[in-house]
Amino acid sequence: MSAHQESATSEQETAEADDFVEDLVDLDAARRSPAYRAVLGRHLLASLRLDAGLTQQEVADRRGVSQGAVRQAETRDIAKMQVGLLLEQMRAIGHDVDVEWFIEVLAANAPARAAQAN
Amino acid sequence: MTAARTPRLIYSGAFRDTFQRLQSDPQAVAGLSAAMTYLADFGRSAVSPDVQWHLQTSAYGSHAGEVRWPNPEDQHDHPGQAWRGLFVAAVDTSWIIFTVLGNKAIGPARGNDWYRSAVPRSDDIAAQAIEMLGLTAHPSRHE
Repeated sequence: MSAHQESATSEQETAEADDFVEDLVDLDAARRSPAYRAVLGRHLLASLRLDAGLTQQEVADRRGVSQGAVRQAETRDIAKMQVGLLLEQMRAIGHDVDVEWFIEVLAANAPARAAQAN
Repeated sequence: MTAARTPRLIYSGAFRDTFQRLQSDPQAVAGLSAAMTYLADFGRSAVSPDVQWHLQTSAYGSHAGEVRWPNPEDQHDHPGQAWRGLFVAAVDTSWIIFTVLGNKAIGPARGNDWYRSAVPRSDDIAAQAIEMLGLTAHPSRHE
């Protein structure tokens, strides 16, 4: 049976015979991974909204969209979002970022991106 | 933005065995590792869909949850993949036990059926870990 075919119910281990380990995942390596960066990208918008004390519905009202649209936006990696949507969502939360800010971020990262490409 | 300190992370033998067999799928390993690390870093402040707190059917309730891979955004790129890593945490999140890891999209028990067997098993493993390892700040178990 491949790992993909595993399920909790197919395993034979019992709680009585279980053992415990503490070194399974290298946290530092995981923090450097693209996967972790993507998780943070899905964390940002909801985290900012909660820090601002706003509900999804309140943000939706400010944007003039449905609560579902806000929920959907919050579950997306901001790196994959259209800049216009990201700006709209952040402004509704109360973060007055603009296109110039994104250009500055891109410019600041340009040397690193160029080095990675080479 | 992150938790003040990294909690003690504990993995059951069952979780470890499944995770190690999953090494043939680097994307799944990277995704689950990232979700577990994110949980360790953010604790109860974790709001990304990669982590879900409060397993309603768990005896540990709001102190139990799951890490997920793939996330809903990338689900369409990984058909037949729905890995869930169940966990139980200390009241103060000073420790987190990862108890059961499985794919709820494939196998004899899928979807809610997967949870019906995996959650009680997770609760039992967590109770065993709390007792064996002498963990403090553990949540009450409600039957």
